[in-house]
Amino acid sequence: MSTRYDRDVCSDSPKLEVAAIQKVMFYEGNAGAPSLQEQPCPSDQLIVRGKQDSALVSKISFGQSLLVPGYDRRSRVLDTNSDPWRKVCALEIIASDDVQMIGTGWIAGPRLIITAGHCVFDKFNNEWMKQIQVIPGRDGTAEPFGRYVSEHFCSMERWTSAGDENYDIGAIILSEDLDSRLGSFAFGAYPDLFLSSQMINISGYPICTVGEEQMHHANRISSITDHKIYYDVDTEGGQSGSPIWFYPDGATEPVVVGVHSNGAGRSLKANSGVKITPALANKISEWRTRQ
Amino acid sequence: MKAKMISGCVVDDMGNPVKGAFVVVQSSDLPAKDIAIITNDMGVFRLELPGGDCCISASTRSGMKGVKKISKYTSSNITPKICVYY
Repeated sequence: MSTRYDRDVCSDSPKLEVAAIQKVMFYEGNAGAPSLQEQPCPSDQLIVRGKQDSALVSKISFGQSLLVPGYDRRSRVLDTNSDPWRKVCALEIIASDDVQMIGTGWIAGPRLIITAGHCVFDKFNNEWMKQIQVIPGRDGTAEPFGRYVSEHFCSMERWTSAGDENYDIGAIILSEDLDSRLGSFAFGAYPDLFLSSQMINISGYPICTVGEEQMHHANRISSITDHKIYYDVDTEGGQSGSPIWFYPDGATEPVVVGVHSNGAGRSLKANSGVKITPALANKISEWRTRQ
Repeated sequence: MKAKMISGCVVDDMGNPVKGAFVVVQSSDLPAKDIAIITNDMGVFRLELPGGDCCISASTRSGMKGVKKISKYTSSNITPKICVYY
């Protein structure tokens, strides 16, 4: 883990100048097998980097996670064998009452998949899901890295006991190690000032492709709170748990800074996900060691 | 406005239950979870609705689609029926 410090000076007080230190917390990922990423793939052109400082376009809210009615701004990812697309996983979920669901997850460690809390803990029955099948880099009927079965689940206590959407994040611990060629995402907690106006990428497995083909869209963060990130990025049912990633300061490796969880309602003009805070980054790191 | 859990079913235009349809909250007053539920052998699903008015939709692999509007005044005891067609 490496750390860096940003100094955010607030001088409202006539007597004191208070320096608020916001810490960057970063946990490295693993790029995976080099042989799989020698050639740049066409889907890499979908990825966006950097910041966008122009004013946000004001929009009418239609209460959909496809934010512009009549338009789907996402693109299908065709190279799910390549990095980082292969680190995004389709989830086939079976609840304790045998209801089936679909969601998305991302690889954070050799046996660790991170997703939304509501994909691992079912508030309807107040129980953990019975089983989740994880399919990295799924593309239609092709499952280039096979499928893996959940061993057990973890989540935040505030989600399982109170359903607090600020803590809607969960972990799937697999019964065996993932294919080592897959690698894993880096993740980290960044100060709000650093994340503000960043261009972010979200990729997942929505119902428009019956949860079998990966769809991606990228655009900017519109606002940030203590525990959530709001963005003008199209999503759809089935994309809960998708990674929200960016490239800090021209880095070549993607870093996950949040987990997609909610579509926009009419009260909001943006979709949203749980922000990785320093405490959450530490928690994911702890989950990495579980077997 | 509190979230509520509902159960419902998906049927085709002949009234037959549709197995394996994907059901989601398509639009709503408050943010909804981006998870999709799959109907069982009887075409039955259960879904958490956010507070306020919302619209739920069902779609199948074969391309049938249908939507159902649910009012904020509707109780959680209702069992909405979504009719899907080509």
